[in-house]
Amino acid sequence: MSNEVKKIFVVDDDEMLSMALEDYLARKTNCEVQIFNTGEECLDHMNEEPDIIILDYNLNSVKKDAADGLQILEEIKKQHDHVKIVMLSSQDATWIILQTKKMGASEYVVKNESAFEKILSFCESA
Amino acid sequence: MKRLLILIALLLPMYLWAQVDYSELSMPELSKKIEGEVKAMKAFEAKGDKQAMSHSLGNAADLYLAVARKLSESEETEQIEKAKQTSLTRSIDYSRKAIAASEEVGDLDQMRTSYRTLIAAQKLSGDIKGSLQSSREMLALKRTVFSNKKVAEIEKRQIEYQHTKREDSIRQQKQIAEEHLKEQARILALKQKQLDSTSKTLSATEQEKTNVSMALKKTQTDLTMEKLSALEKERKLTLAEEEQALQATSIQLQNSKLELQQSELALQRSKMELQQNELQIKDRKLSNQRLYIYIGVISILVLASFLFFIGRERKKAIQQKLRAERSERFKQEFIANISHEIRTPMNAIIGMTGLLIQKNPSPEQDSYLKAISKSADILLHVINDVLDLSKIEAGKLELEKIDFSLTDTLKQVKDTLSYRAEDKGLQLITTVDDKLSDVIVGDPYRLNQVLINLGGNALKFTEKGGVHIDVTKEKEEGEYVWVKYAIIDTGIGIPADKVSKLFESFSQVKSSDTRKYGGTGLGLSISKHLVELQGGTISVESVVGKGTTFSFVIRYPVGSAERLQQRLAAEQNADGTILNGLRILIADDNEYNRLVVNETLHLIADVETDEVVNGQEAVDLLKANNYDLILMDVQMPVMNGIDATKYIRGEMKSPKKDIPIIALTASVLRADLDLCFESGMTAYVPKPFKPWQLVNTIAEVTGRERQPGAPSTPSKAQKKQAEKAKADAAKAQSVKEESAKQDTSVAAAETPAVPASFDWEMVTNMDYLTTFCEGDQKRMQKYIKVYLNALPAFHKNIAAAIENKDFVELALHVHSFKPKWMMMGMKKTNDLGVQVDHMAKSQNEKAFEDVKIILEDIDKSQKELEGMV
Repeated sequence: MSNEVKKIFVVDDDEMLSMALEDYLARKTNCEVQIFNTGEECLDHMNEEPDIIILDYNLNSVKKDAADGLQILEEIKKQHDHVKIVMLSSQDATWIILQTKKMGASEYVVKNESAFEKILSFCESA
Repeated sequence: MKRLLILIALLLPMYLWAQVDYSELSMPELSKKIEGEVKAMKAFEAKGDKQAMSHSLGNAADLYLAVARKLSESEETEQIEKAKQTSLTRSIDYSRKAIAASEEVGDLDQMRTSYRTLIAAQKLSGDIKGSLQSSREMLALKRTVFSNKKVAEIEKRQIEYQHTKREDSIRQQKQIAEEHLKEQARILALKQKQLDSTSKTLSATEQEKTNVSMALKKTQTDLTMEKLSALEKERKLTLAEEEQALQATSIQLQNSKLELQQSELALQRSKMELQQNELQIKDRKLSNQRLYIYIGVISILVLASFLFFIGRERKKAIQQKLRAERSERFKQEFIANISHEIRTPMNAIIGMTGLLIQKNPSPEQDSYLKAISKSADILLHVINDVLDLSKIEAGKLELEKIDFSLTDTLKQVKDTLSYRAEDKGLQLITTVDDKLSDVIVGDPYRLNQVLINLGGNALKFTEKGGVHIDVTKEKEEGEYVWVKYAIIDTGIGIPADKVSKLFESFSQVKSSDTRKYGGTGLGLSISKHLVELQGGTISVESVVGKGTTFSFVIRYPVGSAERLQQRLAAEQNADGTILNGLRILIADDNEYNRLVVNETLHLIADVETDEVVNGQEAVDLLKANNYDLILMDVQMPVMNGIDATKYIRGEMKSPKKDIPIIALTASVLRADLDLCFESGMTAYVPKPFKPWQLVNTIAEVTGRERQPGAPSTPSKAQKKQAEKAKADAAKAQSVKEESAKQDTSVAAAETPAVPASFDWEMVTNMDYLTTFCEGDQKRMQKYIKVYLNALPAFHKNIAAAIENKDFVELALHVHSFKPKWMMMGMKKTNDLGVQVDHMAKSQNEKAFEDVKIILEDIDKSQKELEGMV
């Protein structure tokens, strides 16, 4: 792991989850964590050059008109291909996993008890 | 072929010549002529000589048409295109004026000539509709003129003779046109396939084609009649020419219509073809016409074969794609099926061998039985390999994170491999670095699998010497330890150029190796994947003839020996007697499997069992009798386990509808298990199962006492205390409810913040949040506030969903609240949320009822938590 402080963006429209994840990562790693409740906000801050983005798959459950995770993934990959993206989702269908991987997600984490640990180990090894 | 080319070369200039009378003139000559005609026209107009004016107008129109034709032969630039269009517009304009003028003076010849120019100009400008309209006008004109003329008796015979002659030529033309139509239809059919047009479009086009061809026939008949009169008057073949021109226009219209629906290419080609026909007619070289048509037919054939070729290529590509998708799906289905088909009989073999071994066999029988058992294990191992690989490829393999002992794992590996080493007279050594903390957190089964794979592989390719599995500490930092595994053999070695291929599926260094050494060729590939999943990388060092070393490093959190003890106790001390007295219904279509389940249960516990062979019988028997539990096979004839569960959960009344149902399934695919849970099954036990798995699962779902030391299980003392407190607090509650709520009552008893007089059980439990926030009260309060703030909106959304009977919204809001319940330790509410989510997604009305319980829980949680912030 390099000594530089990594910057992690957490994008999830569930405030409890994003808050907890921010809290968790901030404590377990020495990374700088920033949370966004919509993908659009995240896109607006891409000039801050995050290293890792934890991106919720379903970003428009609360705000119906918001872009969904795949749209944001596609958008980010277009402009900033080097950013590592962890897709976070309650879906565990293989085709969705394969689809996100195909679109350039580095990791796919299903929202379950071990989700945080998986994200942590990804962030540590990335 | 050569002759044909010469012919084409000879005919082409003629074609061009006939196309435009002025075509031999150069541009300057043309423009000079136009100038002259326009001057003359003005002069005639001034004089009032309408007839002469109409001639000049007609000539000017012709000249402009010639200019446009010349322009269309030159390079296609925007400027030229513009000039062409301007010329055409003028030509059309002058033609119309000429027609008007000649009509006034009754000059039919001039009218007809101008009409022809007009039609040609419109066609050239792409105005097919306009040209058709003009053709109609011309025809109408002729009709009006000729219908007023009387037929001269004397000339009738002569006319009839000419008519017969003409009919022949028309028939010929018609035949040619029909051939042409056929070709067009063939192209159309090909292109329709290629362009993936819908059958609607196809039939519409066919219909249109028929209509057009009918219209054409009709027009031809009409025209023939008209021509009779015309010839009487004119005594010339001019009418035939006009009729042909009109017919050609009709053909062109029909073709253009077809072509408009088709590609641009076909349109241009067909236009050329039609122009050719027109030219021939104008040229009056009827004898040559056939040849021209042939050329057209040939070019259409070339075009058709070209399009057919393109269509075939495209179709091929689509088919290949579809085939690939299909084969991927078939692969998945095949693996699922084969897994089930193999595991079901394996269940019977392993289960019954196990039962027989326990029935005091003679030493000889015992050794046979153990051999059967061992072979069955190997077979199971192979099928598990295949399944593992498919799961890894689909990204579905999940690793355990449990405390385990390295020395125990290495001992198991040695036990498994030692007989193979003994068979070959090889040494097998396993060593574990004593500086290593023995208990670590990870997946012992997958580690075991990798070591057995690599160790077995090493033994397989070693003839003398031995195999050493060496486990050492690479480093230790904080709570983590890096463990290095090395599998060292003194075998045949691997040539350097084969090392890279080593880890591919189904790969062995030489294909003859498969025959010599056996194996599926999957072991190394799976091992590599498994090591990578655990965060390591396998590396290989090898010298041919000396030996090979496989090594990898995996990082583990340091484990807890205490937790390990608890887990082992839970697994091993499966005391069947806790199931005593249960009435169990076993539904399985395979009699051997029923026997295994039945015998296993009776061997370990004093239970009552009934057996049925399908889901329908299970439902019927459940209606008639009372049971505590159903063990349900998934794939059964008549009614499968999923449908039976759905029926019980959906159609039967409490308490029978709530009976615990354990799926006994040979499938380990996630999708299949999801189906079980979605149908309402409570838990599942994989086949083949170990007795303790069955005991523990049954104990869990029937609320029987759990294994001592299992995590999150309340102690007896706690339980008694909780029960006593509850009995005092809520005597009105039924016994059933009490047992269902035991878990949460413990939380109530343990949380000092709650007054003892509470007449409900706590729905929240701060254990998780406390651990998560490391006891930091401030942080905890932050989460509680977020939770409380989200409640009003949740209430509102759920109320709206209930009112509108909106399943989608209901599922959405319940689903999105799950992380909050998890943080607030509301396990029961969360579980109910999962159920409501599933019910809503399957449009089950019960979701609207059950969500009300969630709302009650939410209200309770609000009261419990408000005091904390």
